[in-house]
Amino acid sequence: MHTAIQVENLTRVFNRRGTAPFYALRGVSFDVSYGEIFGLLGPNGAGKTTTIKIMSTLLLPTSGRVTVAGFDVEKDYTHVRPLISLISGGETSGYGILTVEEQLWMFSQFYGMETPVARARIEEYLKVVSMWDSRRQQMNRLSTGMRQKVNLVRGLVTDPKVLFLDEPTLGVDVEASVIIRSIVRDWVREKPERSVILTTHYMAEADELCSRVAIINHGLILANAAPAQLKQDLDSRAHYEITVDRLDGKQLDLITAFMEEGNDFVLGVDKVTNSPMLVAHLMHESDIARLITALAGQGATLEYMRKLEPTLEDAFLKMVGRRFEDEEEVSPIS
Amino acid sequence: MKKKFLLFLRTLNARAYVRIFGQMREATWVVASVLGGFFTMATYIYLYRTLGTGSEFSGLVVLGGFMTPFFLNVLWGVATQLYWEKEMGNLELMLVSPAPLSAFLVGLSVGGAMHTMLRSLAVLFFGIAVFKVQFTVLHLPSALLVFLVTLFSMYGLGIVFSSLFLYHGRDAWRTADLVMEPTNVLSGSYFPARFLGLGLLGIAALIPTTLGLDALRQLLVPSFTVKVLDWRWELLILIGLGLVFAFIASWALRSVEYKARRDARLTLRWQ
Repeated sequence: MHTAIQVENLTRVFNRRGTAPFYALRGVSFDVSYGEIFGLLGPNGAGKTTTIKIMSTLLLPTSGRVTVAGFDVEKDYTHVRPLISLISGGETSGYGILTVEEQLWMFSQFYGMETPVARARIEEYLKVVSMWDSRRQQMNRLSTGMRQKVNLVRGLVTDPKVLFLDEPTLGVDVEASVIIRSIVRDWVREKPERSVILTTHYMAEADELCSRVAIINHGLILANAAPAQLKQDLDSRAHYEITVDRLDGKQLDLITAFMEEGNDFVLGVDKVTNSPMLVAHLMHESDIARLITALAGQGATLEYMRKLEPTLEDAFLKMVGRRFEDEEEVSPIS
Repeated sequence: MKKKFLLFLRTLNARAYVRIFGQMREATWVVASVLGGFFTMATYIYLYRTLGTGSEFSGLVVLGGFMTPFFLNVLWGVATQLYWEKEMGNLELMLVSPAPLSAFLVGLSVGGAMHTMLRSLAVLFFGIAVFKVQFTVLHLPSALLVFLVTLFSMYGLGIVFSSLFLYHGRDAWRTADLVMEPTNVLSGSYFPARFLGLGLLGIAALIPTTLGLDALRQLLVPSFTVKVLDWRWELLILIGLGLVFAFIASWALRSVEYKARRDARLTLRWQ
């Protein structure tokens, strides 16, 4: 059994009085293997959180089927719940009057853990997130980053098979984000029967952590592949930024000749050195050596060159048609 | 089976811990609630003394002051709690865990009752010390039994209401706010419930505090004669009510959780 999660033709419709039914998910299918960190990317209202709520037994599907560790989330939810944990970004769960240690112990009891086992794991993970010294601090006195680290520990202490991370680094500073990402990565590597489902607004985070990502929009899966594959599928051309000391008649004739072969160029000026700059979109990777040699042959000296790699954000933008920052829709699930 | 039972007990214990030890850290709230209860009680005692009623009326007011915090705890600390948990984002985590909702609510009830007991005893102590009220304990085990059965029945009712709150959210909140004072009146906290008359008593008997208080007054204030029923009958009715509430609560929690998952009411805040 290598499949941690199987989602088959999942549809969820929200019916509201006085408004047309809202289709949050329209026949979504994907699967997640054990040992995998799987990313769900999409703008607000795309259906990410609805999918997570269904997978974590908080919401029933309108149609379709979801299994977690082989158990149906609709019918066998009592078997699913001991195996999962949910951590949401910006979470203010728990009780401010409890200390960090008490809060984590309380949640461990909801999973039936024996107190000595729970205390040992709490100590282990609090040390991992560098919060052991803060264990007696009250929850309402913690910073956002510290609180999110406690939430992460809360999710890990019960040793789930599937960890749902819904925007885990939302509103968290860079240092805490790096720690959280590192812990999640190590946690999955530690045991092969663990897996993580991640939704995030940070493309770099998904790129860094996920072995596969699904891009979802308007309740439909637009793509489901490894981040490298998504970027590769975006554009097969090679992209370079080149700065030279001069770009006049002879060099421009050379560029025109390259353009006749199907290559594209954008001319500009380097903002730092004020030297002429070229952004070259080349049909073949090998064309870059030919271009540089030819420019040198025409009397231009190369000052600077770098290869431009497409990002996951570019892939997202191409498929969804807008960036995360341009979001307008609001999910019916908050 | 043993695993499920242990899970239930551990959840109950953890949730009760928050109520008992967590809330003790809010000292100003504890002091304010004791003083609030004391001053309400003092108002009625002075009123009865002004009217020249017998000393037994002071005793029944002090007992009312002792039981009222429990009723308030049931209404605002159990019935509305799932709604609050949802607003705080805890309900999702409670439901995603393998623990049953009933374990959380029983934990809340046990913790709430123990925490409230301290406040109620403080009110009782001040009542006795300040107003020199005397109680005659005719049969301590019976009084304790009546008290515990009343709590069982009251908190059972609270758990029934909590499932309604979970599903109906703010509408139920307003309803609770609306019914609080009438329920306070109907339960006869500061006067003998028999004065309500037969019609109202039929409704009032559904609130466990009504018969519980009446029975306690019979057992602790011998000069109290305006009873509703003999305390033994009242005890039997309270046991019956408690069992019915426990059964309804168990069914309602399962049913409401299913409906809430179906209608997305577990995750929508500020509904």
